[in-house]
Amino acid sequence: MREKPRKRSQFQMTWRRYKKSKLAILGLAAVAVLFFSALIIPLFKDYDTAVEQDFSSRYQPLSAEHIFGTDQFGRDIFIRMMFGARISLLVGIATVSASLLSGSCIGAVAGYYGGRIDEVLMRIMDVFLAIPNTLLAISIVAALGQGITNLLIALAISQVPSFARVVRASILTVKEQDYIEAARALGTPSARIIARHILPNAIGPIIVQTTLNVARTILNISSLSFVGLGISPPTPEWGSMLADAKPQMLQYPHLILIPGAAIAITVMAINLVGDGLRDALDPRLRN
Amino acid sequence: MSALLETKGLRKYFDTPMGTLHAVDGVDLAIDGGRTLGVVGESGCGKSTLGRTILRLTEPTDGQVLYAGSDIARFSAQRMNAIRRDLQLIFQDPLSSLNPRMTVSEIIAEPLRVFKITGGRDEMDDRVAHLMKTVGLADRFANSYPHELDGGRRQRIGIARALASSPKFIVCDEPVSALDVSIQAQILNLLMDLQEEHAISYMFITHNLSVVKHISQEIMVMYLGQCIEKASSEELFANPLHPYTRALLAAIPVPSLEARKKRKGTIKGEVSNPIDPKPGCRFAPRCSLASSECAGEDIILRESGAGHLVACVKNGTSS
Amino acid sequence: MNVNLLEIEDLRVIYKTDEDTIYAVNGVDMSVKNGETMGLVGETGAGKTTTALAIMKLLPERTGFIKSGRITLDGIDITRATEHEMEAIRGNTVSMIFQDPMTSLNPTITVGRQIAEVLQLHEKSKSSSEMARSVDEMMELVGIPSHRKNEYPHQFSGGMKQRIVIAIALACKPKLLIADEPTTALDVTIQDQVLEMMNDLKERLGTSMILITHDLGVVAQTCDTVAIMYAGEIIERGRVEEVFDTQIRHPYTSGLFGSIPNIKVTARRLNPIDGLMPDPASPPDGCGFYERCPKKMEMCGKKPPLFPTEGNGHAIRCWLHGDCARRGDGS
Repeated sequence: MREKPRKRSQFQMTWRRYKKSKLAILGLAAVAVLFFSALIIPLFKDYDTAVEQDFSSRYQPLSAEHIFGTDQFGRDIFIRMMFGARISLLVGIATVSASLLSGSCIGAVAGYYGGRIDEVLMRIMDVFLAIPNTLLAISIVAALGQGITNLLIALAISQVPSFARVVRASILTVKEQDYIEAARALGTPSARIIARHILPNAIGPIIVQTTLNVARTILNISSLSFVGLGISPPTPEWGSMLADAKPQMLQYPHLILIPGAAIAITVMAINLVGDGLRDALDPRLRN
Repeated sequence: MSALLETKGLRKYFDTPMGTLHAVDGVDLAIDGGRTLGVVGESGCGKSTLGRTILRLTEPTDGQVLYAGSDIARFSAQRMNAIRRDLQLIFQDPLSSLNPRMTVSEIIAEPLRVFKITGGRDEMDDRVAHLMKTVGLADRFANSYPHELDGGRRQRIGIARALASSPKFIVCDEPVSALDVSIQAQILNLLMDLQEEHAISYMFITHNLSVVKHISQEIMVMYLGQCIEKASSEELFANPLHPYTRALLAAIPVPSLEARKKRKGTIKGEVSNPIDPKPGCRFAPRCSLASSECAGEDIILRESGAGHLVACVKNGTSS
Repeated sequence: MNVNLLEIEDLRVIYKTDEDTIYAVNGVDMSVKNGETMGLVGETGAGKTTTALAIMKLLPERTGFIKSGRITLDGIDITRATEHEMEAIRGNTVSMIFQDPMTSLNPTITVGRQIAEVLQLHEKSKSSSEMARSVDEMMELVGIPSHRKNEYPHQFSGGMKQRIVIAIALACKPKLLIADEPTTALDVTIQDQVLEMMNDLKERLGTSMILITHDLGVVAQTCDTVAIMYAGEIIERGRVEEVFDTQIRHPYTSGLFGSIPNIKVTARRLNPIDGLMPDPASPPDGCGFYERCPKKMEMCGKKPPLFPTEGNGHAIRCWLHGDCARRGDGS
């Protein structure tokens, strides 16, 4: 019998390459901790503890009882941060998934078929792109009214063009490659060319764009909440926590530093994961 | 016996902002079963476009492509895809023509899947292993990715993929140009062996006249979209008639010192492009023999001796 | 008596990557005399370009290192020169041209300006009219009408671009020009023109040249001496007459000659060298060509052959030949 070398699965190979980068591992660890704690926090603390005010314990410093201290209404900042993480992640993932799906379809159609369809679709996307992301979201929220659902819709719509463009661009690049012509020379049907040859090679930039967008969405929700258009108090949200803390930031800097740092670390960690994934998904980079 | 593959007045024009580019401009050729036609020319002469037009990777503007008697240029997309099993292509750059996310065995198995040639998983594995052996690829590379291998092995993958569907005709587009000389010779020998075993016909496209000499029975020289000389391999090298063919032959650096002493004048100028070409010989601006006869009307291929066709009013003789 | 413009002794270059060390050049000795053209021949990965980059001291930072050896160029030991000293040496004493003319030219600057910039770097004292004249001269020298100096690189064909690259390299009249596969990307008729121009230039300017190529035909047409590289070593060297007009060759050189498709030969099949070059990450103990050699002997796999110690003529690094064979028996 012929001896065949064992075939490593795609996942194993990707993971092997991913763990080469210390930064990517660090990012993944941070994201994992955030996810995990956001997931399990309701098991330990009631949501009410994050919103109920207790004026007897205002502005407490960092201590064993309140690890991140308390805010101007006497609420535990750690608990609020954890529930805030749930909101950030939920909004981030939900809107990005929705926009990824619709943006990819638009981009794939435009890129693969080209011609007039491409023209029409991409000009529409250009109109959206001409309006700054946050401004677009603000206008949509203003039009539809405040609320988490409308916020989700606003943020999702504002991201569709960026996905459509990235997907279209990577499909266009891959479409020109010799191996696509090779596949055509073999008589491979279009659907198989897209699925087997184009998409796997176009996925890198799309993944990076996805993670960048998750990170940017988290920033966007925070900024919208910060200016009072996003999630309104008393819901614990990192951006509105920042806004609430603004008047006392000189006396009680931890009120502003903790949510600020949380936003920065989360955004950076997600970007690190994105970069790591991009490199790991490319088999051309050495094992 | 009629030819396996034949083109009649094949044309491929591209619209460019500067005008119509006559990439392939009325090419007639015929290749018999199990034989090789070498197509030689410099960059921009349309040799690659010719290969791709024959395989309908770009649609011909005009003319016929007869495969086993039927005009595949008129085939529906579906019928064309079915016949592709018989008509294959080997690329110049072995790396860029292999999907970087597929392993060697997946790449070679792809045609088997597309044409549903093999039944079960085991049969496919056996077939892939057999193909790898045929082209001289060791088993241990089955799960490697193309970028992990050297140029010669990559080209072997490309050849195995082209062979997978047992084609009768293969367009080889500069298959050895990107390879080192010692590897080049290995691949050329492999292609010749495969031809002998499977009676495959090749259209061997190259810019290198010395490469084509070894592999072709017949050679066609192209210049700016047109065939300017066609003859059997021995005849063309022994008795080149067109001034351009002579210039091409003279320009090859010969690895011997005798040639060094008697350096002949190089041809002047560079290849232009066939955008809205005027009637007349397209080589005339660079030709040392050119005169008023060469302009005005198109120069057609004329027979000059048995089976030796040349498109030159002077027939290569200076008056 | 001609002096050696360039002398390389026992040059060893390694590349360090995360996983392993690549032994790219393993003890190269060679010399180039004033006004002489040396062909450096070998296949991909033989170490030709690495040797050239070592002479220019342009090995990739952080990964490429000169491990040992000496490179004496015009009396200066390059291996000890500082980056500041190298800046003066590059362009003035030695310059290099690369295979792809496209990537060596800046697409947004006119070609005349690009030639002038090199002149300015090294000859600051020139007035602008003198400069303009020098630019015109350089362009005419490489066979491009000087009125085209205000055009951009994309307006030139591949052969013309390579001529401009050569003009830039020669602008400061360097003593040594290293040309790395200068005509490989060009069509044969254009290659012929460029080679003829280079031949002509080297006679007129008296520039020494190292011509890196994989094509023995190009060597036969242009070079005075030839060095054949294999797996990071020079395995044969000599004057072109000595290497081309003989049957006494290194087995690898014979293999190279056998592999070349030759229009003069009528045989249908070629005689390639079987196998591949050894992995440069783990070079073999003995002769680098051992695995592929049709004439290998037992000792070849154990002990690397050396060049003969005396004589400047045709030298072959093989246990089968001359001095090497004799010493092999003795020691």
